[in-house]
Amino acid sequence: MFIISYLLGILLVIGFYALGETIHNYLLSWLPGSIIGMVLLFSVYLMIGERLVRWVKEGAELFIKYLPLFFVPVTVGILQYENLMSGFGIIFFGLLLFSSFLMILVISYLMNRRERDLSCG
Amino acid sequence: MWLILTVGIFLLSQWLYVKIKKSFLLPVFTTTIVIILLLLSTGHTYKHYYETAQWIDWLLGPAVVALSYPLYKHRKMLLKNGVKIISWVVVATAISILTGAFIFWLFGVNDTYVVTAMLKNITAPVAIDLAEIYGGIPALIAVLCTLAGMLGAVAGPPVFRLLNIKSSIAKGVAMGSTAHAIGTSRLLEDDDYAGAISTLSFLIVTLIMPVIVPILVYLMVN
Repeated sequence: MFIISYLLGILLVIGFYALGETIHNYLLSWLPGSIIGMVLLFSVYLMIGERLVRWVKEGAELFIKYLPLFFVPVTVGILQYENLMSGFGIIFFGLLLFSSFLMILVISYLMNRRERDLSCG
Repeated sequence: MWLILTVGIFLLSQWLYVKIKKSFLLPVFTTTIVIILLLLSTGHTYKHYYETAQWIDWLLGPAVVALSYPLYKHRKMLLKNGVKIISWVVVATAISILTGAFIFWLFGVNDTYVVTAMLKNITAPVAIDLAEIYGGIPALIAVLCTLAGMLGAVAGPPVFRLLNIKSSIAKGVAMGSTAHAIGTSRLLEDDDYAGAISTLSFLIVTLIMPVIVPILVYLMVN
């Protein structure tokens, strides 16, 4: 029972990934297959509801638990970009990293303040 | 060989991370650094590494599909806050472009770099595609997205603590619109609901950027 729930979840997720990739190849070349698969599986969850989710959630949670691991091959790819240490490279990456840092700071601060205002009436 | 090594080092750094619980010990971060050091010290190229590591990379696709589950789990709250989340993601994207690509454009930096800078907060596969279509640099954008993701995952939680941010919506939107899937996986560690908001936020970024980028390219680049 337990193992079946894992297997069904994993197969369903991989199946929707394959479906998403197929749609990406033939119809929507500007959206990656994984995003198409995510939206499709979400719609199926909405249509079928708890009956389906109960059977597949262990498998889905397994993927999410190890999600950070799956990024490693991409992140190691930084190695290929030697120009990182040139003068322009440092300014380019420095400014853009600072910009991302600013986004987190400003958005979370402003939204949090708005949320507090709302909850205080 | 490198596949087993990657999984092994990851599990080890995850164990260390759970034990010490310091943001800079984030498993993706430490594993990446250890692997890079190993590759450099043994004189192997990235191409050699990717030959076996591509199987791990492949799993990234299904894992993104699996994010539909937290999205479903929190569907009612997401629907209720949908308009708010979308508007804030648009604000975040505007900040991203104004403090990044726009500055380079003002200083007359080469167009290819301006286009690349626009794509910095999109999830890597989409950003790479857009870079190829609109004249950015695919190899550079892959690095840039990865760095934005890791920055969010490592620096995000300390920033939230420092600014005393309690709202899951604030955390989720800030993280998802900046650090896409990498940041989302960090949020999912301790706040399932914030993780779902983050998933929705980076999904919105992924859906609106293919529309915004061509307009910006038309306006800013000859």
